[in-house]
Amino acid sequence: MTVETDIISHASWLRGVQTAIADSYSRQLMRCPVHLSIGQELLWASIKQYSSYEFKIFSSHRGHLPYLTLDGDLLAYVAELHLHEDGTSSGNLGSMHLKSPSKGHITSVPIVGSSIPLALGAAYAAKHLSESWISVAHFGDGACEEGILHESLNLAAVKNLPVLFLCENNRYSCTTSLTARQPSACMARFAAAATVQSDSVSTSNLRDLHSSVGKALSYISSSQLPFFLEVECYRLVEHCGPSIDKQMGDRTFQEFSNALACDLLSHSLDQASYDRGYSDCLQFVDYYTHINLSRKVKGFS
Amino acid sequence: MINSSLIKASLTTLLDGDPSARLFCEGLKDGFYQTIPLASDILRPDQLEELPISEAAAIGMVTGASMFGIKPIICFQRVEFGLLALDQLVTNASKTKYLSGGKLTSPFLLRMVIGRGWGQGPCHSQSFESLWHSIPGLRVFMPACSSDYNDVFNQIALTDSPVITLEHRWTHGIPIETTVGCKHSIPDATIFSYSYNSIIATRVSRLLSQHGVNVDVVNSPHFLSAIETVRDSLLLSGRLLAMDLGPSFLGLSGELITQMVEQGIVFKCKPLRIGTPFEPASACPEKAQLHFPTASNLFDSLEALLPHLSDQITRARSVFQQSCMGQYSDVPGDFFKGPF
Repeated sequence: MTVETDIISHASWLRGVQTAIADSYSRQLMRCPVHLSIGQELLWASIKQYSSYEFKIFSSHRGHLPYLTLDGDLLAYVAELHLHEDGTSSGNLGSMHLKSPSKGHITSVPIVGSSIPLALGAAYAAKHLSESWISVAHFGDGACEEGILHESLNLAAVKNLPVLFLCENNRYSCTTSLTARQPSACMARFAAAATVQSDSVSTSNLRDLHSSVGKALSYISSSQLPFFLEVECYRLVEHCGPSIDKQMGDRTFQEFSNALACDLLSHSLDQASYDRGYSDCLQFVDYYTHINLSRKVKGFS
Repeated sequence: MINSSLIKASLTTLLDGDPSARLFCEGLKDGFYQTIPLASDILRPDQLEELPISEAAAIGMVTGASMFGIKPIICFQRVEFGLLALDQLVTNASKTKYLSGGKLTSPFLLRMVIGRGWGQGPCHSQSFESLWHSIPGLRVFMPACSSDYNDVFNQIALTDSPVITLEHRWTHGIPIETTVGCKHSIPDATIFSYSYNSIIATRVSRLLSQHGVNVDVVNSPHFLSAIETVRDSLLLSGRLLAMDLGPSFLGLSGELITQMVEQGIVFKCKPLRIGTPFEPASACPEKAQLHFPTASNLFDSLEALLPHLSDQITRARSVFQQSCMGQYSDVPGDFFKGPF
């Protein structure tokens, strides 16, 4: 198998898992807001290929893919979405806080941009305690509108911190288009302002994507300096929930159709991996559906 | 020796004793009111980290660093600058242990200075103690004297949570021999106070005791730790005067009185509160004098609490006023020199 085949295989598995969640969300037994990343899988499938690096990843509310990539324990994942004690956080935190600290997915924080400076701290510790991990601040284009990103870029630059600013530019903040929020579609421009090296790449070209991810990690590892990687992608599902986002907020059906037509994974799907992800996930969903139906959470409110 | 020297010595010991400790501060070379060591004072100067004016990113960074073995101390020149880092404190630092199911902790010390007097005005003189105390997961200290500051440094060695000190600027210049708090076997009244208010209350109480009025002063650098002591004193006195550094409205004194009522304390008369008005402070010295709690407010309230001892209180007030003649009210004493 080639690296590209492996990437497609894992990305397909990720899509299968997420689609199973989307398809079963209507049971109303995953009683927490769920932010899926259907359409954005290739980046994380690429990162999975660089498992020789030790990661400390700090992500956002949309943190299913880092969890599934670094840990992948579907039982704990599905249990957490069902707020069950078998979950990643013992069912206390739900979908917006998926994490696996022992596997390097340190946290997911649902306040936009809030987890970015935590990654600086992990990078600071690595630098001063002679650790070799790569610290990753994972966020979206929406977080680029928060002051904390700009403070963090400046601080990382002035302190020479080995941290990856990993920006998934999916062009939407909830249902509001990037064009209504920023004067430019390029997020890497913010890195330039802080003299942080950067690259922009799209998920539409797998070879370029994987090469850019590798170069970013290699740069940080060798230079011990910050790097900003912008990954242009498109979220096919709604901001929060299971539905395909065809026409919500600023989106038009035409735009969605174009994005779907350009979705590389749809055209190159590894059906077996997709099916495995879907069926394995659904098996656990069925299990926790049965459990949650018997939980005594009904009553007066 | 004054408290600022004590703090500096404690930090020097801490940094020299632990290579993983780091001190983050904007303006390192200014010495943070002579309370932090300079590079030449410590064994490893690279433990001192200069900061850009980025409070939110800085608190986020020290939170993350403390998860992985760094032991940070971070200093903000005024409490108000901490507001810029509120999200990091509320969302991340205070919740690290909870969010990680106990797998991670983020112990660090955040020092913030409360200004007062010398024209500090409405944006450099607030303490916001109610705000900081309302965040579960933070341990908040409001020291008044050297033993309070020593407690802070003992605590940070023991706790796995972020510790915040709200350091009244006027407590830095107080001699380390100064003690606060008063306890009597049969108190006539009980004062609950913290930070610089404890200095005022202790001076007043000691003077009153010379005139036959016994007022307990329960200094409370850590609010929750003081509840029991206040209750024990109140069981004897039945009269409470609670002092807030900030506004009485939604202040710690209100919480204290509520807890005393819930514990079944029987008051001999209605409890009184002293704090700032619920409005911004003026930089004008005459107006600021009316804004911040003073010994005069204390005497007024004690006369209301203890009407049967008003003659003695009046005599003590007269002596106190004589001792203050000629002093400016916008500084804590002759030792204090501007600009801060």
